[in-house]
Amino acid sequence: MPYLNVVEVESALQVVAGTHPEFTELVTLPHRTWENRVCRAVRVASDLATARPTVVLFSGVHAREWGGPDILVSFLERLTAAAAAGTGISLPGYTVSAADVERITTGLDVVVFPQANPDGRAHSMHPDGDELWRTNRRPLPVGGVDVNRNYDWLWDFRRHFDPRALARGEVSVSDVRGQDTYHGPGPFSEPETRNVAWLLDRHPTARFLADVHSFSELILHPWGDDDNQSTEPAQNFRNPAFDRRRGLLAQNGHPDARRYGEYLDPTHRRHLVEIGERVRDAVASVNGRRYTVQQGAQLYGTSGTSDDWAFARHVLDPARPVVYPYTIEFGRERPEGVAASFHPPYAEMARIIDEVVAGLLEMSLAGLDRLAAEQLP
Amino acid sequence: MARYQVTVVSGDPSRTAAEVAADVGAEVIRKMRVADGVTALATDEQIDALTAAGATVHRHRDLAEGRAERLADVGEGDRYAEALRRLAGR
Repeated sequence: MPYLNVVEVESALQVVAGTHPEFTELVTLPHRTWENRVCRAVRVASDLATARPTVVLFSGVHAREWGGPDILVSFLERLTAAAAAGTGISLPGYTVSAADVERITTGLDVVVFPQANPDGRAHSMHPDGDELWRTNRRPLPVGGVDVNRNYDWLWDFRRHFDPRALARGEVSVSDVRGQDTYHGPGPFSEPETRNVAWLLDRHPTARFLADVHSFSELILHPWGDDDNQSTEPAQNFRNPAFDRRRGLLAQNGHPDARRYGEYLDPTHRRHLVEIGERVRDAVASVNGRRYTVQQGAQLYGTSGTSDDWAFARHVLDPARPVVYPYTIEFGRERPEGVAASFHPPYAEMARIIDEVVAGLLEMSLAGLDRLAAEQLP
Repeated sequence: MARYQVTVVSGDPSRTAAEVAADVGAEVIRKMRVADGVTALATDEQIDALTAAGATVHRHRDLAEGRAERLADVGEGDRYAEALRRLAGR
C-alpha cells in the first residue's frame, strides 16, 4: 500500500461519509486553496443534530510530511467501521472495546481534517515537484507561506521576541519571503490557516485538538514561545511589558533566560501532561516506540502555531472552554537522512499509522475522562 | 539545481550555525540534532557562500538520492474510485 495521493485523501473522506451517512457529516471548508482546491473534513457523531464536546484532528499542514493524512484517514476509517459494526478496534498491542467506541461516538464530536495543505502535498509528491517542500503554494510575489507560523498568536514575532533569540536562529519563524518558515504577510493571510480557524469557530465546543506532523516522536503541548512557568501570571503573551523579551530558552544556555517564562495555569499544565502521557503510552503499546511529552518550546521556539493559538483562545476569552491542543510529531529520524525521515518506506509508515491511530483513540478516551472529571462536584 | 543535506558548523564563535545557515538562505532542519552545528539543506552555491563566510560544511548526501524509490511509494490514480462509483450508483 503506497501513501495516499491528494485525490485519494479527498476520495477517502467522501467514501467514509457516503458509507455512513447516519453518523458522519462531510464538511466542505469555506476557503479554497491558492491552486483552487476544495478541502473537506468529516465529522463523526452518533447524533449529528446535537453539538457535543469536540475533538479536532488535522494534518497535512507541512507538505513534505506525507504520513499525516494517511494516519487520519486510517483513524477515520477504523473508527467509523467499528461504530457501524458495533465492534471494537484492535491494533497490535492496543485495543478499544466496542463500548469505548460507542463512548467516543456518543460522547464526542470527532472532526477529522486530514489534508490541510493539498497544494503543497501535490507539489511534494509530483515527479517534477520538490519532495521536501514545506509551505503552501501561494504564488509569487509572496510565495510559499508556512501555514503553521501563520496563526494569530505572537505572529508579529519581531515585536514579541528577544532580538538575540531571533538573531541566533533559535526561533523557528521568518519574515523573509522564500524561507521555509515564512509566516506570511499577515496573521491568517492563508486559506489553509483560515480553514482550521473556521473549524474551531464552527465547533465552539472544541476541547481537544491534534495537529499531526513529522518527525521526532514527540507529543508537544503549549507553549512554544518560551519556557513554561506557573508562578508569575503577569508574564504572559498578552502583556506588552514583556515584548522583546520572549524566546530566550534555558536549554540554549542564555543567562537572561529566566527574565521571562510563559505563564501556564498549573491545572491546565497537569491536564495537558495527563492526556499527553496517555497518548504516549498508547503509542508505545503498539510498536514500543516511546514518544516524549514536552512543551513545544523544548523542541525550538515558535510563533504563529496552531496549538498555541488554539490554547490561547481560552486565555483571551475565558467564556470559551479550554482546548487541550497537541502537535504530534510522528516517526523517528532515520539514518538514511532527512528525506527518508519525512518519507519512510510505506511498510514502516504502516506501523507508524497504527501507533498514532492508537494515540489518537486514546486521546479521545482521555478527553472523555477529562470531561467526566469536570462534571464532578 | 542539486541540493544536499549538510551539517553546518559556524566559524565565528559569536554566531550560531543556524544564524550563519539562514544568512545564505539554507533551510535549517532543527529537528535533526547534531553536535556543535545544525543540519541544513543547501545548494552548491549556498555551500560555497557558507564556506566563504568561514563556516565548516559537511556534505552528507544529495537529496535526490533515493527520490525515485520514495516517489514510487505514492499512490497512482485513485484506489477509492470503485467505492465512489458504487456509492454513486446506490
